[in-house]
Amino acid sequence: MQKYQQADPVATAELVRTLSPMLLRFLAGPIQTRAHAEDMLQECWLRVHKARHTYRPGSPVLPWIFAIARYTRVDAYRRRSSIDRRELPSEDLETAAPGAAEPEPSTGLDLWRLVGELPDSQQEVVKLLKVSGMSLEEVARATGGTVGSVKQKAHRAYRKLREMLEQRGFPGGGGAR
Amino acid sequence: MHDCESIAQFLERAGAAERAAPPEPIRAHLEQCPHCRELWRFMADAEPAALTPQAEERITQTLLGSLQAVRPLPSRTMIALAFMAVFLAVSALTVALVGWSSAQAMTTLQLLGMLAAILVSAGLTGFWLSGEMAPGEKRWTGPGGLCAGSLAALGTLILVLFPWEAPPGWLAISIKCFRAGFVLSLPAVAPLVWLLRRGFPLSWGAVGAGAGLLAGMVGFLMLHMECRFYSAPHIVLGHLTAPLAAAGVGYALGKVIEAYQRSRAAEA
Ligand SMILES: [Zn+2]
Repeated sequence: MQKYQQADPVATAELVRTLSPMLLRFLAGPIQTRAHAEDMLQECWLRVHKARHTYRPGSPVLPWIFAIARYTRVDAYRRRSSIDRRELPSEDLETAAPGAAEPEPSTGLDLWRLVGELPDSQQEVVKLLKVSGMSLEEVARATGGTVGSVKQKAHRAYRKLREMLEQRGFPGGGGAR
Repeated sequence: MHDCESIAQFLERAGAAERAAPPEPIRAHLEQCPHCRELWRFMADAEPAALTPQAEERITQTLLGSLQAVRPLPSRTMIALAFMAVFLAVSALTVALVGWSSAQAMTTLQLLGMLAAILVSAGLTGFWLSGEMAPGEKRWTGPGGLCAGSLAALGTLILVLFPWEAPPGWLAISIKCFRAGFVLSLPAVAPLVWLLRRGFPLSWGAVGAGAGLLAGMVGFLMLHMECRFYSAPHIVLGHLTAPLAAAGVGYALGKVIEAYQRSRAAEA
């Protein structure tokens, strides 16, 4: 990140390569078309580029970059609020992404759908914890909240998800595993 | 023995490494509880989404096209000190201009107690504002909490230090004081904006409220030094409302900036 600030082209390309997959997953979630998600990713990187001087050397990169990603996402959703974004199937991102996480795509997808039923703020916390591997403190920084509120959201989300899994007899059927 | 609830609690605190390889007692529960196992598996897999090579190339080229070395923002403490310096300088100028006749008439406790509270409040606001300038900084409260906290603390102190009486004509004088306090907050706006210009705030509304509050504190300090109408209701209604109104106006202006930026982004 510091090399990026110093205009090192190799470090810049490397940064895009390593961070884009998790940013894309965060921006897209289960309900976007691939093209739309990649547009949002590009928009996110443009903002990162504009803001790159505000990264303070030595501090963690992920809260900084995910704060910008979150802002990009909220902004894009606000702009497109008139479009029914649930129209498009979630499989799009999976199938169109060669080399994306292949194992157990169906179980992953079903839980993504349950996550989609959580309140927005809980969804966001679950996604950030899952996709970025950030700690509660870092997620708090990325969302501009306090650790306590992030923790509470995660707690409620996990409980709700588990209840939903229980109620819907999931994982059922494929009991082989 | 672990139950589902404690698994969720553990999952909250678990880092990526712990999620990938849960410790033994957790694993024992996961093995016999399919719901926790499913939830755990979901949270343990980051599922990074591969982007198309074309998209990666497009993004990289866009960034490289305008890649220039940038100077990182100074530390939060440095920026907070700069905000404080602006506050002190503009306040000193304003007081020098308007006068400090009240300072001699007040008791030492009234004078210094309020001054200390104003300085602490301004310092905290400056530090909070320095965090709003960059994404992903620690934030202990939002703009509403900041304003409510500051003003409530000052208000309480006013009620403790000044007599609870409302002599005749206090309302009209309060309006006069409020107007003067608000107007004399304005000179602080330009240097604050100048300091803020290097930031990349994710919420202009929040930045506007914080900057407004800090500017309003200049007016409040000036009224403290000059107004000789010692009545708690007057000071709350005529003085403390100046920073409150300034924060409100700042917030509204910030929201206008946000709406403008959004409309520009939508056009692009
Ligand atoms: Zn007065």
